[in-house]
Order: sequence, then structure tokens, then C-alpha cells
Amino acid sequence: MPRTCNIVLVCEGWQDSAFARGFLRMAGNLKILDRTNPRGSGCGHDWVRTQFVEEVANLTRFSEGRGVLGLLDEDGQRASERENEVADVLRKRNLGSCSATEGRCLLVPTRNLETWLYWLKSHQVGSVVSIDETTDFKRQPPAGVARIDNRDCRPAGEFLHTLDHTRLPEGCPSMLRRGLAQLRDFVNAVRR
Amino acid sequence: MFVRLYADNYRCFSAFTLELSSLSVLLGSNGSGKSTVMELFAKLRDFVTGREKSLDLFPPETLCRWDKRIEQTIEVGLRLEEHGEYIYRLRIRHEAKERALNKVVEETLTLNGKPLFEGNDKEIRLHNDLQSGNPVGMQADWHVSGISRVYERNDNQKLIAFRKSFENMLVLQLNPGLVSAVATAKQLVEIPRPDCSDFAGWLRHISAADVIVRQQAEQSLAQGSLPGFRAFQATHSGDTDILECFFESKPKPLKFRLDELSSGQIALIILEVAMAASAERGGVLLLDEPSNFLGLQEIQPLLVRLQDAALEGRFQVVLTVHHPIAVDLLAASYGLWLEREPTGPSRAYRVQMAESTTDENSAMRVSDLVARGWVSALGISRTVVAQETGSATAAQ
Repeated sequence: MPRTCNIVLVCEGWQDSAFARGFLRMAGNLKILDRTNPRGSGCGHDWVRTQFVEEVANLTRFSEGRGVLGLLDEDGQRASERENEVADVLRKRNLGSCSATEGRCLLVPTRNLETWLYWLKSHQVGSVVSIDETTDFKRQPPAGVARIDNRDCRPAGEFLHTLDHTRLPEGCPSMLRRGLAQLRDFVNAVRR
Repeated sequence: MFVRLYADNYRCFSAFTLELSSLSVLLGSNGSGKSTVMELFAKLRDFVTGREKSLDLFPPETLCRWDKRIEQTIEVGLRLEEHGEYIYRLRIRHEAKERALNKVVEETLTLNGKPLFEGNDKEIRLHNDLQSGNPVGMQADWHVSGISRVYERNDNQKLIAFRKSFENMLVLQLNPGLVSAVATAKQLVEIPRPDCSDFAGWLRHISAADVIVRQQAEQSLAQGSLPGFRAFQATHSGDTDILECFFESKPKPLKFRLDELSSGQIALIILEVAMAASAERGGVLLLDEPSNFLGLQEIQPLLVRLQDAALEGRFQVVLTVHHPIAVDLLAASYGLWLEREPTGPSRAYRVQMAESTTDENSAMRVSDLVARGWVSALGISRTVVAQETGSATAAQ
């Protein structure tokens, strides 16, 4: 079994990392190097933007790496703005574009990862709750729902892997729908 | 979860307090007291579970060298979701520094502030779960934990839960060079030695008592943490068992005695079994330098799994680390810095990274800061450390 790291994961915090690793674990047999922001080490957004670009640069320099996966909360700044910020830096450094089909995948949960976690958990346990993509569920969980904790992150990622991105239920957050499609493309790309 | 350790007049600990959480990472220079924390937890476990006596665990050499007092005090705080906050207190009086004689003069256990167990050098009083009514009296033994002598009953489940937390504690300071593949038939290893030299005996016990632990460890090893690994097998030879490991090979698997493997492979195997055992029992895993012997590619995956286990509440983790990968990954969030003048007492400080020192453009890695001894960026004031250490030493 090769020990080469296939994927570098760049996240704002442990919860994002646990969620992404849950998905990737279900995808099977991928070696991951975790570049999660250690708490206290500056702003999480800055960390992901900077490290994601650095890891894309590493991907172009060295042939062994297969992909970079980043998670960056939208946090009310508009997903397109978040993506453009990274795309601009990549362009300025002649590192090409950010495309999951090329193993460069940046997921932008709106409003933040908690939006996805609450939606996934509710579907996992079969008690569907209404989730929007503008409320900050990090501060306050949806009405009548228990607060997400650390134990929910990895299972949510694993559950996401079981879903079909072409047949997601009504009410699925739009960026999660798009994110799942990106993740499928990303896993296919890094396996090539 | 163990939440607090206090030790007074024990090795380099003088009124030393350590606050613990689900994941605690002990950092500091050589000789700062990190391994002494591990050692003390192992000794408390062996005492409370009745594996060893105070005479063997706390010889006079364990008294602080600069302290003239002949009494040691150790306290442990434990929080169990189902019961609440326990405080265990052990006081040992040595006859004289030169003589290897001591006795337990106080052993108490409280739960949420009320007594569950009260012992001194004359008598023991055992309270029931309701912590009401007349306590049961027992004769004291100067060298044996009274808690270890309590038989489990329906009305003392709270005390038994406390003792089980110690039974489910693993303290490992791995030394693969000492690990033997041989387990003798009479050797019963419910809890391995810190160096895990008796690992073969421990795995045999696990295979008999907790086979799921062995299966989970084998699965994790086979799924990638030890490339090529397939399974364990114990081969009987006379009155001993030889522990062997099967590895993938064509046309048929190859087997190696455990002690034929490299130090790193042995360490990975032991760590997998320890993690599986801790997860199964919901215990606490204390690892002294788990990155020793491991290849660079193995270190981060191991640490991430330990972090996951702790944060997801599967088991508590206490680590001592020096390796830069470990320091950079864990210190900022879970670090406890231990500091000590060469012959003075240890002090522990929670790492609190200052935002200004970790600005993305000018940030240094935490391991760089530690290597330079620039610990002010970790939120630790050397002045305070020096003042506290100096005053503590002067007070003796």
C-alpha cells in the first residue's frame, strides 16, 4: 500500500477537518495530510486562503500530490466573493484556476459549516428541520434542535458520502448540493 | 475524565497543580516534569487498584530533594457524567528520609463534596451511594489502598465507578527495544507496564477478555497504519506463547515474531492496541512521547486520530510531546507548558497564543518558538515563572 499523501486538507478548525475526513474516509483509502488552522494561530479565513494557495503551488511543483481540499465558511461575505478571493491569488501566481475536476477543491458552506451539519444530522436521524443559508447557526441552533457537538462532525461527513448529489431532497442547502458535486469530482480527480 | 492533578512533595512537584481536559498536551524542556506526571498517574492507578503497595510506589527517593518535610500529598479530580465530581486525596507519611518505611495517613474520596470513603492510619469508613446513614467501618492497612479492598456491591457503585476509571487508565512510555514476543502461561497482564515490555502477555489477555479490541486494532493496522499487516497469531511453545504478526506476501503471507519487527512497527502496533482498548473502555490514555520511533509520515495521522478520539469523547488523551509536528498541530489549542528551574519545583501554565504574535504574515511556527525558548508568545511569562519558582524554593 503506498504511503504517499494523496490529499492535503486545509480547514479553519478541527470540526471542518473532522467533517471532511469523514467524507474522505468513506471514499476509501486516501492518505490525508491535515493542515488545519491550530486555534489561536491568526484568523481562520486568512489561514485557509493562504494555506490553500500554498498547497496548490506545492501540487504544481511536486508530482506525488494528487489534490487539495479546502473548507472556508462564507460567513455572510457571499460565496462568490470568497471563491474569487482565492481565484485571484491563484491567477496572480500563475497557478491556474480552482477546479475540483483538477484536484483543487474549495468548499464554501453558506452560511457556515453548521448549516450543513444541522441539515445532514436532521436527515440522518429522520427528523427534518428547515434550514436556511443566511442564519448563523453557530450562535443559535435551529428551533427545537439540540446543539451540534464534536461527535456530530465526522458522522455528518460520512453520511454525506452516502447521498446522491443528483437526487438530494428538497430543502438541501444550495451550497451543500454544489459541495457534494464538487467532492465527487474531487475524489474522481485524485483517484485518476 | 480526569480534570486535575495536585502533588506536593513528590519528586519535582511542590504544591503542583495540573488542570486537564479531554485532550491535554504537556510541553516543556527536558526535566520539567512531563514524564513525572505520567509516572504519578501510573502509580496512583497501581495503588488505587491494589496492584502495588505504598512502600513500593512511594519510596523515600520520591520526596522532593529540597524539602525537609516527610509527608507527601496527592490529589486527583475526576468528573464522571453520570455521577459528578470526585476528589481523591492521598497522604503518605515517611518514617524518615533514610528509611524505606511509610504509611498512608489519609485516603479520602468525596463525590460532589460529600464523603464516599474516609481512611486514615487507624480506620476506614465506607459510605454507601446515597452518602447517608452510618458508614461501614474497616480496619486500615498502612500500605494498601482501602479503596482497592472494597468489594463491589449494589450500594457502592459510585466508588466502584471511580476505581474503574483507574482500571481503564493506560500509561505508556514505549521502549520497543524491550518488547518481547514471549508470554509465559502464568503471566497475567491486565494492564501493561509503561514500557510495554509485556505486550505479548497483554495482547493475550485482551484476546481472551476483550476480543473486539484485538479485532479493531488488527483492522486499523491492516487498513493502513501498518502497511502490509494482516493479523496477529500466538503460537504455543511449551508453556509459553510466541506472538507473531502476519504480513501480506505472495504466494502466501509471511509471519514475523513481534520482536523481529522494527522499533517503529512495534510502536505502531502497541499504539493501535492501546487506542482500541481505550476506546472500548472509554478510559484515559496517557502517552509519553508517542511520536518516538515513528516515521515522519506516521506522526500526523496518529496525532489526528488521538485528537479525534479525545474531542469526540471516545477517550481522554494526555500526551507529552517534543516533536515539531506534534507541537505545531496541538500546542496552540491543547498545550500545557511545564517550567522548572534545574533543581526547583515544576509549574504548569496553559498555553495561550497571543493573536498579535501569530499574524499570518509574520507568524512563526509554535515549534520554532519553543526551540528558541521564546515562550512569551505562548502566553507564558518567564518573570512570573522565575518569581514563583524562586519563592517556592525559598519557602522550603
